[in-house]
Amino acid sequence: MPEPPAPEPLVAEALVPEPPVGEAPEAPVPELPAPEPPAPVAVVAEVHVAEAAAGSGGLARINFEFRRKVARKIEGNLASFCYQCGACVGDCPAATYSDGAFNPRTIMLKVLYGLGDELLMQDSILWSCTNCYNCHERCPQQVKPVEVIISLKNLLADAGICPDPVAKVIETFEATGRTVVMNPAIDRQRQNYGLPPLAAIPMDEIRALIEPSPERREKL
Amino acid sequence: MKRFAFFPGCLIPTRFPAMESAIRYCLPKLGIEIIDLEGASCCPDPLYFKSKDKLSWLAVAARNLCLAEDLGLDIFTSCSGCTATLSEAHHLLLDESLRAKVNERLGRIGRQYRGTTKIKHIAALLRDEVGYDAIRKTVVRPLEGLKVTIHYGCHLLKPSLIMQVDDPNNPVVLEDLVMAVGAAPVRHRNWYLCCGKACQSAEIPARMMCDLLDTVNAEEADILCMVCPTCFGQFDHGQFKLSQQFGKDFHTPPVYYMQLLAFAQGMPYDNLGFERQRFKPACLNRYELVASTD
Repeated sequence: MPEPPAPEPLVAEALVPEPPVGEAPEAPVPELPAPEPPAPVAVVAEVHVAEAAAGSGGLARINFEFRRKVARKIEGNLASFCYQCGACVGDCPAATYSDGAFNPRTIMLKVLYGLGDELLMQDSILWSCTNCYNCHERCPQQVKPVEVIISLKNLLADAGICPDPVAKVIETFEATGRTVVMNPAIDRQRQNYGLPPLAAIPMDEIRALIEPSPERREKL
Repeated sequence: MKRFAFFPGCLIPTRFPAMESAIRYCLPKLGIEIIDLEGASCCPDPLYFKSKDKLSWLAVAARNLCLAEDLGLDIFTSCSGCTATLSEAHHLLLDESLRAKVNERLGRIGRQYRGTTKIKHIAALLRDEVGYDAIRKTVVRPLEGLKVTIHYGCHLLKPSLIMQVDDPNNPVVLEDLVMAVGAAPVRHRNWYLCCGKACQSAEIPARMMCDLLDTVNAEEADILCMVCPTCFGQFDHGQFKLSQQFGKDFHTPPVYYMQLLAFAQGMPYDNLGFERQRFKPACLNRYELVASTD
């Protein structure tokens, strides 16, 4: 089972030992007991490390640039504390009802290895998260996997990728300050229940708040 | 009268005004004066806008909190999503560097977030600021024998460190509130499951809700009670759609707790907006006033 990567060093790339894939190590230690079969986490790690390390002479290469990108988002840095225990998976409804296709532990592992290409794409698995906060509740390391997933969604948004139903709600909010489109029927309904019409929302204030800072605008 | 700022959110005032009118009917009877927050926007929602840009999301949430701060009031919310956003913003903005960033943005509109306002979900407001005995005293139509199964939803309880409402593994607040109106709560086996609204897959929420509704059906309850308008939508039209999709007979009428309380406090059935629901809690009609309303 490969060691989970240590807290992020300040170098761009680091080399980690090869995980136990197939070939036995050359070291002449004949008396060693047979290694234990790898736990499921090792399988995941092997597959992805093998992909990430293709052509690197048996050494896995972690994409620290991607990790730093995630860490710059609010609470994205929390992924660094993940030790892959899997406490987040058992109570995850999306994992249960997708037969494991959505797996918060695997998502955290991909962040740790910097496998952004497997997370940030159209129709990303990230959107299967139900935002139930069970993983946040269960995590012994206070990783808040759901918040790391939201950091990843923020990166998706930076790249202009967003599922249509989600984009529609965001557009409605940015245009009106509400997530529901107003219409005269709503105020008529309110009147039926003795309620006053809804007041307008000062959109100049909302727009000023959600505009990125000038430096940030340049980066985008 | 205790004064609280009311943060109604988006869904209740627009889609479910009957819930808002029930809240405005109930709280003054319980010694809570409702102060409306002029200029409040969407919290913003903890699922969609937060997914676009968490810093902007925090800035707008902080602005909403500022509105109550300026009045020197604590906030109560009627939607678990709003509670999640505002509570999380309050929690995250304990961090000085993040607060400085957010206040830089608020400075653009001449506002400043100080962190002096507390946020309470209406269920916690009733428990902590009113009390179950005081609720019981306002009941003029005790719902004795009404079997009520409960959907807690996620954001009322979790993350418990931030929400601090109840034990997420064994909560009692909604059971206690149901008992305060004279009804009998029952816990269905999948009570801890999510309503699935935030999930963008079609299959995951459908399968989950099907499991959940199977256990609701097994309890043969009169109604399914909840405290979040998003969950409510999933259990009203959502329940109808799932019945068709899975060829099942899901039929337990969902009722938002404040409407149940308003009914117990004497509001007539016909004023509660139940006629707009797919599954109507007509079983409530068997209860009659045992005391006069004021």
